[in-house]
Amino acid sequence: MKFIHSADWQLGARFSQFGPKAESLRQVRFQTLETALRKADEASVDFFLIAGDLFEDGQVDDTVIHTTFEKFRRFPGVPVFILPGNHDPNDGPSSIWNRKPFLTKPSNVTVLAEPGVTECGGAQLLASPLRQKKSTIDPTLKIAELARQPADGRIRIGVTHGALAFPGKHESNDHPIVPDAETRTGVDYLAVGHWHTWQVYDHGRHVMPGTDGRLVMPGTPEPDAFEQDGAGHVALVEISSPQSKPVVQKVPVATLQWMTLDLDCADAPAGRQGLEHRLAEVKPAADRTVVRVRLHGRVSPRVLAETRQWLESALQPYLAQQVLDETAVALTVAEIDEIKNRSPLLAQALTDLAQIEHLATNSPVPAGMDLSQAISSLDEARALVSRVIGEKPEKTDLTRLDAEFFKLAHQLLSQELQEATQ
Amino acid sequence: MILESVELKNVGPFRETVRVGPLDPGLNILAASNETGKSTLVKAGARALFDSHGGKSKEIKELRPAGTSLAPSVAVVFRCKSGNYRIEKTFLESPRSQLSQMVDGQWRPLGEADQADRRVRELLGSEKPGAGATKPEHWGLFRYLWARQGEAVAWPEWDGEAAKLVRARLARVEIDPLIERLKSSFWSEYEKNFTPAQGQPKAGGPLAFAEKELGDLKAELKEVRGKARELEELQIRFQGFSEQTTTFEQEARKLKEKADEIGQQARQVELLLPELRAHEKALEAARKEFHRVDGDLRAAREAQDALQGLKKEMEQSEQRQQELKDAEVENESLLTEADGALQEVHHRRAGLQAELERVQGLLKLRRLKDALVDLQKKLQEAESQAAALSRLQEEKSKIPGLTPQKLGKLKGLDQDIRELDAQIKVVGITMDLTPDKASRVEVTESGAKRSLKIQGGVTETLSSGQALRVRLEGWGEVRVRSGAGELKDLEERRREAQAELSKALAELGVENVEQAASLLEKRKDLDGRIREATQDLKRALGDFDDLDGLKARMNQSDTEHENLRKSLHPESGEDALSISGLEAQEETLKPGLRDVEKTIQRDERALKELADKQASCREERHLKGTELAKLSEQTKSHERKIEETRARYPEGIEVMKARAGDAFTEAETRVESARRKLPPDYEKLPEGNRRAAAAFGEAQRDLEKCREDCQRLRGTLEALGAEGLYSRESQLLEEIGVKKAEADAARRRGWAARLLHDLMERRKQAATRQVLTPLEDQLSSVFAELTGVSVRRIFLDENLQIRGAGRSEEELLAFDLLSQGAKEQLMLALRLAVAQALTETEPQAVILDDVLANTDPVRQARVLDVLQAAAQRMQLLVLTCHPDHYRGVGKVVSIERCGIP
Ligand SMILES: [Mn+2]
Repeated sequence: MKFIHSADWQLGARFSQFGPKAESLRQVRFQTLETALRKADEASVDFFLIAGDLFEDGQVDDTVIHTTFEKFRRFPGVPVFILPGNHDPNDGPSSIWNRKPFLTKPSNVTVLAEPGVTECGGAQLLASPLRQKKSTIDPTLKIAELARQPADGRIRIGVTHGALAFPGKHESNDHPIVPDAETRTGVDYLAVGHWHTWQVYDHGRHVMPGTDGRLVMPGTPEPDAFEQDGAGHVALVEISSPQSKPVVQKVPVATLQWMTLDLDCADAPAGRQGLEHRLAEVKPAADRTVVRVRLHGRVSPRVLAETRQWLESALQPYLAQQVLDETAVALTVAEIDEIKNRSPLLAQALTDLAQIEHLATNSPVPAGMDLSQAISSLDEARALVSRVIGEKPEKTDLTRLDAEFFKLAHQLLSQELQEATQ
Repeated sequence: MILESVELKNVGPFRETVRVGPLDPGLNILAASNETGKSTLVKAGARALFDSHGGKSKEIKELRPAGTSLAPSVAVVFRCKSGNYRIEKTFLESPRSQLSQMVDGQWRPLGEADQADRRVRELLGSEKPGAGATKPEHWGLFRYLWARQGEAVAWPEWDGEAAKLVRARLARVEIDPLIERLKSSFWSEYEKNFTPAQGQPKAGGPLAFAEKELGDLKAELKEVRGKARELEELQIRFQGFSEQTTTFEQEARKLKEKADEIGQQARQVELLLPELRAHEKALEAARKEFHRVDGDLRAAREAQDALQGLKKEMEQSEQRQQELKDAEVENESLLTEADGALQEVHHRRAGLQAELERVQGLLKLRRLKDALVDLQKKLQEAESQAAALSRLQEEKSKIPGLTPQKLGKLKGLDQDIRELDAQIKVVGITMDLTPDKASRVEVTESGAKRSLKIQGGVTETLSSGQALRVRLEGWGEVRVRSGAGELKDLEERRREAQAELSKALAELGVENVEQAASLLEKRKDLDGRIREATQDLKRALGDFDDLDGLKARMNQSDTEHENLRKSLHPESGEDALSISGLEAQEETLKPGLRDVEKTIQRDERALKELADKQASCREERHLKGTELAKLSEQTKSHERKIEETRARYPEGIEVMKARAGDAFTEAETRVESARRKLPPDYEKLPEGNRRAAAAFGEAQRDLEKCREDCQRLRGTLEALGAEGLYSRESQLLEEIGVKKAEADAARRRGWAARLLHDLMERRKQAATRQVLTPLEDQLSSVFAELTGVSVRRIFLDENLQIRGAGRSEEELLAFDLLSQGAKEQLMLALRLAVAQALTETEPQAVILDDVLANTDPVRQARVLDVLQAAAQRMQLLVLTCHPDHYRGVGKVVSIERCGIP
């Protein structure tokens, strides 16, 4: 017999770090679900198993449920078994599984809402659904209990959701599962969901890629973070007979690629050129790419502002973007000298600004900046800042002003200076 | 610029042409009483210098003489660095303006009309107003240098070009146009979003708008989260209710089973209970009957037993009575016997007693007689002793009353006489020898020779009755003296002593001292003998004090003896009996008598015992009689009782008891078997039944309630679950993120602009502050000169306004709080400082129009010193109505009428 084991679809996940782009990221996960169902259909599987966390939360709105059902309806030949996980537990009348849309769920969908044995395709599904978000009880104990009934010569597949109880790698109330649970329960295959990267175990030992094991966590089928290797798969499992070793195939289904690119602003033109080149490479798949650009290096406010402006348009075609600004912004020595010549008072005010920045963000003092004549008293700095942020001096915390603030201050200044010079 | 002269025509009070000037480049005093037009003159001068000739403003019209429409005309001659100028303006009806410059002693026209006006403005740095007449702020430096009469004592704002010039001059602060420009752009950037005063988001600004929206979103988020929390709580409650429902169900089931069981038992009991009750009643009757019979039987037996006991007792009593009767008879005979014996013994005792008494009387008689003989002997001895004593006393009374003291005195007198005699015999020649040095002297007196050693310078007296021979070693002074005087003296003393002795001897009746001594001896001897005799008499008297006592006693004894003898009448034989014989007789009689006494006591006791015994016998016999009567009564009563019982049970009481016992056992068996048919605690069953039913009812109600709650909660939960709270929260979070970023950006931008602005402002002010100090020094010193108080310092703020005066910044007295006089003087000091700073590039004129109204005369004098000193560097025009205040300083100028314009 043959089936797809997937888990942790987290449909309706927030992605709030992407702001208005979050919706696209949410939508993509439905697309991935369709991909996986199609692959299951093509492989003529006996069923499609979802081992928990199909939904990000029991309180996702009905649209999410309807969209999900729509995907299932497209493949009526694929029986779908859904197990409630810790994100979407079967925790009472308000649980998602009791919601109205489930009254008219597609006919190929079965929710394993209660612990029990379900027959399918000549195999027995021993399900241990989660009833709450947190629990210190091993959910496979239930499976062991169910397994006491005679198997009648059928293949037995356990399905549940939880963290593998490796010391130091899990929280005690995160539905801990003994790592050799498949042996203890005596099932032929234990389908587990929870962790988001691909893992296979046998007798409590991690199994190298390419080797088969009987306890599988396929991870999330669609990555949801940068640098998340090992996500983006479902498991295609084949078991010939009871007690025989299952054959587990890692099937990629992810729609998106998540990339992190670096840009050294110290040499902005060169950095920009390099970045442009990399972006061009992935441009064809722009609508399937989430890009993060990490800015670093010492840079003048003007160059930084220009770079950011450029990035805004350069990243526009990609599905979602993130800019991590780790640059150190500073006027160049030449700029400082020029200011000194033009206005000694302004040059002094700049040393004060650098001093306050140093006090507030503990940033290094820029080269060519002599702070010996700058504001030296912390109280005075605080008094100044308190006027700026409209608070009483005794309540003012300099750290209210962050690096971003000082970058902006420098940018404003350089912008105004430029205008004043013209 | 300094003023040379001012000419007016058709201005104020002046219809003709008047002139002031030429003015001195130093101090000018224009003294005139009020209302003579001093201020009008200066005002008109200003109009000519600063106003356009075409102006028709109220201020210009006011120049005209009151009630006329004459055209006012003003000409001012002034000097600048670039030369001497004359500006002449006629206003209103025939507006005209002409500027001339002095070139080579000639006025050469420089321009007319607007051109002239503009040139003057350029020369003076003044400004053209937007509309109307010029105001002080258009007058350039004049604004600061001209103190106008009647204006508030305050320094004008430092603004405008002239102020910049003055400030730059005064404080040497370079105006940095870049800083000013940046500051102003940053400020306007800040003001887009913030209110400058409080630093709060400005209403209507983008930040305030974003924050408002953010607030709304957050409120909504809070609501959604509140709902989510509520959902969670409800869920927990629902779980609790579900568990409770299960518990209640189980409980109700158990209670129901129990209630059913109890109910069935109760019904069974209900059927069986009447039978049991009947049997129980029968049992109770049987028990009562049995007890009654048993009681009677027991009473009959007890009465029988008592009867037998009584009979035995009666027998014993009768026997005892007989015994007592016998004892009484015996006792009676014993008593008679004992009484006889006692009488006999009493008789014997009387005999013995009489015998003893006689023996004792005789004995006493004999003893009295012996005592009488002894007393007679004692009396004789005492009487002889007393005679001896009186003899001795007789002898003593014959010896004179000599005492050892008297004898001592006699002896002393005798001795004195003998010594005086010896001296009288010796006194004849007396020689005093006093050698110069230690010498030896040989003296021969009455043939006897002796040698003397005399120390040098010491006098040795040698006396002799008859002849004295002295051999001297060497030579010394020899002085021979007669002893006659001394002899006479000694003889006198001897006579007195002899007379005294003779008198004493005569008094004693003695011939000489020796006789007196022997008499004293004899007296002493007599005294000793008298003492011995007294002792002897006392011994003889014994216990008696004196002879009379002894005699009285003797007489008494004698009488006693005689009386006793008479009473006894002893027979001759009895008199012959000796005392010892009598004593022996007495001793023999005494024990006999004692034995008899004892016998009497013993017999009396025995007699009493017998009598007592007899009495108790009689008593007991009487008691027994009474007792017997009582016993007989009791016996009869018991016999009656037994008879009655027998009468009631004709079949025999024992038979009846056995029958009642059987009936009781039977009834008991019946009750037992009826009870066995019932459950063990059948009595509590009805109550238990009710309780079980009630408990079940309660449990049922609880269960129902719990189910209802559960159902209600289920509804709520289902409704809440369907709301999709998470998705709403996601959506809100996203919107909040966007809004927050928007607000943060706006805030950050505003704050950054404000910080940049403030930092520049701070640096600018610091720079200004740095150059304020020299100016403050200058002001302080002028003010000190004016006031004579040197410890105060003047403080300026960054805008060159006077903050106040004081010893230090901490003790600073704010300008507004200073006295009017001090304010005036400070203003003057600042004006002079400003003018002085400006004179370096251009001569300057300071006009003081009656500005020291509040300054006292002492200060006034100092003011003159200061003005005179200042006049070295600038032109000063003082307008005053107190000429006396300025007498003797500067140039006195006046308003002169010229007649020809
Ligand atoms: Mn999970």
